[in-house]
Amino acid sequence: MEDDVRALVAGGIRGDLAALETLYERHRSMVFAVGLSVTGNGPDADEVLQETFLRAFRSLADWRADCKFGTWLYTIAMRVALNWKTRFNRKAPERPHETEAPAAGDAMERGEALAALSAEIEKLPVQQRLALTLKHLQGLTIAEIAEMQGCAAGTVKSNLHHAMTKLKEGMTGKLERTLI
Amino acid sequence: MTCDFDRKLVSAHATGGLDMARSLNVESHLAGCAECRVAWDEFHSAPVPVELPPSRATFADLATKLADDAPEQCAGFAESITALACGETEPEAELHLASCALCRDLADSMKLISERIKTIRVPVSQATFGEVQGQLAARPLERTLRIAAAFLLAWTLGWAMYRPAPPEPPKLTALQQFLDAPTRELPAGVTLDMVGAVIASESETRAKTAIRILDLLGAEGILTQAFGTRRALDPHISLALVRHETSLAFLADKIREGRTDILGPLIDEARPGSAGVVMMGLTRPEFSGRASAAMGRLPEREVQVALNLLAISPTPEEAAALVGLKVPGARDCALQAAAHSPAHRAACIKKAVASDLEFLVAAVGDISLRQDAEEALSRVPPDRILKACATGLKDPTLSLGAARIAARHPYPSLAAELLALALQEVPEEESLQTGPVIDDYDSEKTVSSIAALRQMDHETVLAAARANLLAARRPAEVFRRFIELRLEALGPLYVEYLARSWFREDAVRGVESLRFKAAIPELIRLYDEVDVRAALKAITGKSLATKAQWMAWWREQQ
Repeated sequence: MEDDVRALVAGGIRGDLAALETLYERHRSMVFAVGLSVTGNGPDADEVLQETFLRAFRSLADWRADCKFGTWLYTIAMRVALNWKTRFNRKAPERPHETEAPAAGDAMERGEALAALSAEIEKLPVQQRLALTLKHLQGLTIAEIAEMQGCAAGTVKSNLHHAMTKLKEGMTGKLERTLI
Repeated sequence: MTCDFDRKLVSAHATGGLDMARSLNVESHLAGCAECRVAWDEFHSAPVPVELPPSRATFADLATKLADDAPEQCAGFAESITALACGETEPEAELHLASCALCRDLADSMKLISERIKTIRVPVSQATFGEVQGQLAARPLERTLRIAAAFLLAWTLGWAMYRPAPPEPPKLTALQQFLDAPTRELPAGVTLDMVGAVIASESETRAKTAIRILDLLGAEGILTQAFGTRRALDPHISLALVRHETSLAFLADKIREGRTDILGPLIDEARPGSAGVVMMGLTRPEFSGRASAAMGRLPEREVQVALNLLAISPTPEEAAALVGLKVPGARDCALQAAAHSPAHRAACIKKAVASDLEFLVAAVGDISLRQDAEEALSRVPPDRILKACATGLKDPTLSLGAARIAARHPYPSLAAELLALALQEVPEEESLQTGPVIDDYDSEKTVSSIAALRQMDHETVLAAARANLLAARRPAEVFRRFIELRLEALGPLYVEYLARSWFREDAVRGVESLRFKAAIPELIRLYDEVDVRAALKAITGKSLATKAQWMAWWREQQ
C-alpha cells in the first residue's frame, strides 16, 4: 500500500495528474472530515480540503516516506483547518450536521432530538469532535485514527469516550423520551 | 417462516425483561416485520400462566451483584466500553460487561448514542479534483499578486510613517525680499555669505539671482566657494567668475581637473577677459572648432596676450593646437611653441601637414624648425607648395621661408620675387654672424653683448638688433631686453615693430621710454588698437582726449 503511495507521490512530483487525482480521491473524505470537524460547516470544509491538497501537492517533495502519507496529510489538514478557523472565526452558516428527514408520527420530536444532538456535537472540543467524526461518520477504526493523528490508540479512545460521555450527559432524558 | 429474528427477544420484550436499548431494537424490528408482529400478537393473546414458578434468587446473590457493580470496579473499563459500543473489538470489556450491569447500562447508552450519531446526515464535499488542479495552475499568479500587494502595502505604510512633515508656510525674510527685488546695497541683516548660501539651497531662479548679485558686488570668494555645491549652476558661476582676472586661474584649474562642462558655456559666451580659458578649448577636439571661432570674437590684444602666455610653456598638444589657428599672431606663437622641444616640433609639423601648409613655409624660415619643415614639405604635392609659397608674396612673415622653398623648386621668378621681399626684412648674412648676440638662453653672452652694443654706432646697433631678433628663439624676450637697454639707436626698430601685433605693446613702451618723436604718427594711427595715450603724453608732453584731437594737433605740427 505504502509502496503504491510512494509511486503516486513520485508521479505527482513529476506532474502526473492521474497520480495526483488518485491521491486526492483516496484521502479526500478524511481531509473533509477534518475540515468539517474544525470549521463546522460543509462549504468551509471544502475550502480547507482544497487548500490542504494545494499545499500538499505543491510540497510533495517534502513528504518523507518514514511517516504515512495519510498522517502527513492529516497534519497539513489540521493546520489549514485551524488557520482557517482562526482567520475567519465565523459561525457556521448552516447546521453542520443535518439530520435525516423524519418519517412520520413522532417526526417532530425525533427531529428536535437529533438537532439537539448535533448542537451538542458542535460544543465538543476539536480533538474530541474529530475522533467522533472520524469514527462514526468516516467509519475509521480507532487504530486508523491513531495512526493518522500520530498518537496512541488510547488517546483516541479517551477522546472518543469523553465525547460520547458529554453527548450522553447533554442528551440525558431527550433520547429516551423521544426515541424509545 | 422467513424472518430469522430472535423470537426470544420478542417474548422477553413482551414480559419486560429487556433493557431500554434492546427493547428499542425489538420495537424497531416489529415495526418493519409483519411475521414477527403476528408472533407478537399471538404472544399477547396467549393465556397468562396462573401459577408462577418460585424465585430462586437470594439476597446474597443480590449483594454479590451489587458489590460487583460498584463504580470503582469499572473505572478502568469506561473507555473500552465506549469503544466497544462504537463497534470496536474489546474482549476484556465484553467479559466485564457479562458481570457488570452498571457497565452494561453504560454500554447500552453509548451504543444508543452511537447509533443515533450514525443517522445524522453529514454534509457532502462539493470540491472536485478539477478545482484543485485549476488552482494549482493559477496559484503562482495569485501568489505573485499577493506579494505585489504586500509590497505595495508595506511601501505605503512606510511612506506614510516616514514622510517628512509638510514644510511650514514660507516667511518672507529680508534675504528673500532682497533676492526678489535686488538693490545696489545689501539690506540690513543680509550678508554676502547668506546670499552665497542661497545658491546651494534655494530654487534655481533665486540661485541664479544670487549669482548675479554676487557677480555685480564682486564677491568672487563667495562664488568660488559656491562652485561645485550645485553642479547644474556651475556654468552660471563660471560665467560670473570669468569677468574677474583673479578667478581665471581657478576656472582653468577646474577645467584641468575635468570640469569640461563649464568650458562649453565659457567658450560660447566668450566674454572679454576669458581668452585664457577659451584657449583651453583649442586642445580639446570637442571644443576646438568653437574655441577657434570664439577667439576671433575676443579683443585682439587679449587673444595675443593669451597666445603669448600659452606659447611660454606649452605642452606638445597645446603647441599643435596653435597651428592653423586663424587668429592674428597665432602663427608666430605656433612657431615659438614648436621650437620648445623635438616633441613640440613633431606635433606642430604633423598638424601643419594636415591643415596648415603656410606654417610649414614659415617654419622653413626658422633655423630650429627648418630641417623638419623641409622634410615634411618633401611629401607634399608641388602644386600645393607653390600655392603656399605664393601667399608669401602677401605675408612678409612667410617670405623668407617661401624664398628658400622656391629656390629649391623650379620657380625661379617666384624665388627671385620672394627673395627680394625677404631681403627687405632680413639683414645681410654677415651681420647675422658678426654682430653681438643677445640671447635669452645665455645670460653671460647677453651681458657681454650689451656692453659691446653701447660702444657701437647707431647703424651697427640697429643692424645687430634686427639680426638678433630674427635669429632669436624667443624674439619677444629679446625685444624686451633691447627696450631695457634704452638705446637711442633702437628707436626706428621700435617704430617698425609697432606694426607687428606680437611686439606692439612692448614697442609702445620702447618709444615711450626713448621719447622717440618719430613714433608719433604711428602711435596716433594705433590710437584705437593699443593704449598709446601714456606714450603720446610722454613724448609730446601734451594730454589730448581723442584720436581726432591728436590728428589735428599733428597736422598743425606738420
